[in-house]
Amino acid sequence: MSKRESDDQSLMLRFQEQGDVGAFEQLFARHKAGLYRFILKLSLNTATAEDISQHTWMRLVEVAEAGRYQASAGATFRTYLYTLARNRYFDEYRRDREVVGADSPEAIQHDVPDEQAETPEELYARQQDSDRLDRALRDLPSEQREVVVLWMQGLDLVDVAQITGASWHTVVSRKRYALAKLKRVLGLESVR
Amino acid sequence: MSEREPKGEFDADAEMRTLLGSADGAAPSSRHDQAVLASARAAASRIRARSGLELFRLRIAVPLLASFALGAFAAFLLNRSLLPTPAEPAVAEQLRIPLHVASRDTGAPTDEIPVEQADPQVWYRYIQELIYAGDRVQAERHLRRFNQLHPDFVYRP
Repeated sequence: MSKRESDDQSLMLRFQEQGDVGAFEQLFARHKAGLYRFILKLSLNTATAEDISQHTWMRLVEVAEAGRYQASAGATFRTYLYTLARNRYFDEYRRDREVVGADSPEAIQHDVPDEQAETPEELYARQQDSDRLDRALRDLPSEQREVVVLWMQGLDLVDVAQITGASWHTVVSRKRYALAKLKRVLGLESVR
Repeated sequence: MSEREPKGEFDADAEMRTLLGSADGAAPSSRHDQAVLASARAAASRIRARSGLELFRLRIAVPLLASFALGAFAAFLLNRSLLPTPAEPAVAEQLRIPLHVASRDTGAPTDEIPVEQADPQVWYRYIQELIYAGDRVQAERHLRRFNQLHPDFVYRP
């Protein structure tokens, strides 16, 4: 477990045990964008992503208030957080295992934080890229999309296997197939 | 770089990961953030209130209760030691002294009379003799009974 992951757990425990809201704010600042993007790319729907993300964070607050979060050597804080979100998504939005009510790629808003302000041209180009990515993700089977989206958020495949409940070998295989399709659709065959 | 992921797998797709990740600048709305943070602040104040109560319990209430309990126990022990002990059972020890001691040269050496019938002065001297003879156990038994029967006795040698 890395220093940052260990730090995440201590922040969570500080919030849970001492009611240190500053600790929670740090955790929230670190993970809110990654979690939101994961759900957005999974659901391809901004309203769903907002709802799941908000529900996940509030669920985390409830867990802390009940004193039920336990720092575990086996799972990082981020793994735990993403598992909560993924379970909520599949429980509430994916009972039929189909993408329901997906936004058109253009409808998905891509906010840019102030510190990463871009020129209009850069912003337009990035939105174009993102739209192409969303279209490509939409065509992936949900199992492959889930794996590749988690991997895109920086999680390693062991964590992805924990979150999805699949074996590590299955996750590796899903990621390989997903990336091959994305490269082909996005015209990135030359990219390693 | 993650050590848990096979290096070849990671290196092969590192560029792709960067490319896909950079294409994404989505973030939740400020309304989302405000709702989450408001919920966290409310929970934090409840946790602090709860832990404050627990702190009170641990640092003040528990020692206070413990000192009360200790004080009550000490008072109980003190009262118990100051209170008069219950009267000894009414069954008095049946002690006797030799008749020749009691009457000085009358009767056979084996004859005895109950101590209740003996002259206190004679009985007292008999006790002294027991002490001089080294029979402390018997002397103490007689002395205890003697004090019960003659609490105001003054020895006149």
